[in-house]
Amino acid sequence: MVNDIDEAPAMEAVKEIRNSGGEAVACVADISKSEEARKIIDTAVEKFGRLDILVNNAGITRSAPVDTMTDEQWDTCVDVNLKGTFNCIRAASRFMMKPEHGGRIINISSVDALIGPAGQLNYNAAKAGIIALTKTMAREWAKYDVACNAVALGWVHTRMSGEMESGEAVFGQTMGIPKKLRDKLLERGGFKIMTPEDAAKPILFLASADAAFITGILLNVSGGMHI
Amino acid sequence: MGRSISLLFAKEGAGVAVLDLNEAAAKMVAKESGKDTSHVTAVRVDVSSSKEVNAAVQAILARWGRIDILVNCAAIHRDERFVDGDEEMWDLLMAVNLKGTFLPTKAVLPAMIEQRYGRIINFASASGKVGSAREVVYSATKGGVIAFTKALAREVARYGININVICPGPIETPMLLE
Repeated sequence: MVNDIDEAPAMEAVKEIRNSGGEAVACVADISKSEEARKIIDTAVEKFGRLDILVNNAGITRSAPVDTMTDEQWDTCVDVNLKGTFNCIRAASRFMMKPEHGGRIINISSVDALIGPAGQLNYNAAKAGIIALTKTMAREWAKYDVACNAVALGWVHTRMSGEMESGEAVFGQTMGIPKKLRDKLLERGGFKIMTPEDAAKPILFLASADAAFITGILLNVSGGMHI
Repeated sequence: MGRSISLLFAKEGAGVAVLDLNEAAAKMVAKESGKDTSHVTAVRVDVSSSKEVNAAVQAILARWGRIDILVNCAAIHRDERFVDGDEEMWDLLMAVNLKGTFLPTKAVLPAMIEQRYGRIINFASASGKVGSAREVVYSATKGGVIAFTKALAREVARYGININVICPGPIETPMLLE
């Protein structure tokens, strides 16, 4: 079940999955709204009969220095990143807490939660919140055989990390990093930039049977961006 | 743990050198793998001895020409109050757990740097992160492994060498059962 706020990327992912022999269905919804998060989970269970794995991957930035950050910037960023994760997990509880069901939850955090780079107070706080949320979930649902872990990503090539000057408008704002800052970060180097596929593999591991005894952790997948 | 790791890697097709202080145990693991000696070999090594570690690594390089992966999982443990322990115990734990991670790593790094490839996996412990009562010195050695891993990761990432550390909780092994 592929969720996105935009239809096009969701349908593209579904097409790619089906073309490689898999099964997929799309649900266009805004996870920051609890009834839409419920719709995502319900769509998955309707189609597949159960919910084994939930990856809370949707994220957004609304960067600004703290003195000029607006309520809207704070709320949107925290609502999508943190509340969205909570909304989806709460919606999933109707299925994952059933006896003999079990499951895996993987939440996407960021090394920014650990480093605290200036200019994105809201994003760093939300991603740090996900770390505490993850540990709590690991404790609450261990008895239901649900493992909950978080992945702290570094720089992944997505719409969110491209040049803002030529970025796409998503959710009402152009995505990306301002070119000057982006060039500075690239020049400083010392870390590897990942493709989404590079980021997906450790997430897949955490969802697999091989990770059965791993719960409540933060897995640093940042190519050395933060150690 | 060394046994399980060795068997899994052998099953996945890796050439495995099983290094253990207990030569008979190492040989038993090699036999259990079901692979011939060109694929799995057993070597008696005291990881706290630079002479033995270096000789073993040189022999492995002579045999296979490269070393891609090093798993440092040899360790000893003491369950006692810190005030009841002595300097001899402190030195032994440090020698096996910390120096015994340092020495094999130092021995394999030149090859990995030349290869521009390496994967080093160290074993610390949850104790190394949280500090467990009655395992004070053990916790110190494992905390040391964690810091060593992070620092070395910064030094060798540029050569394509990843180094990470796993912190297990209680695992059913001879060390726990003792």
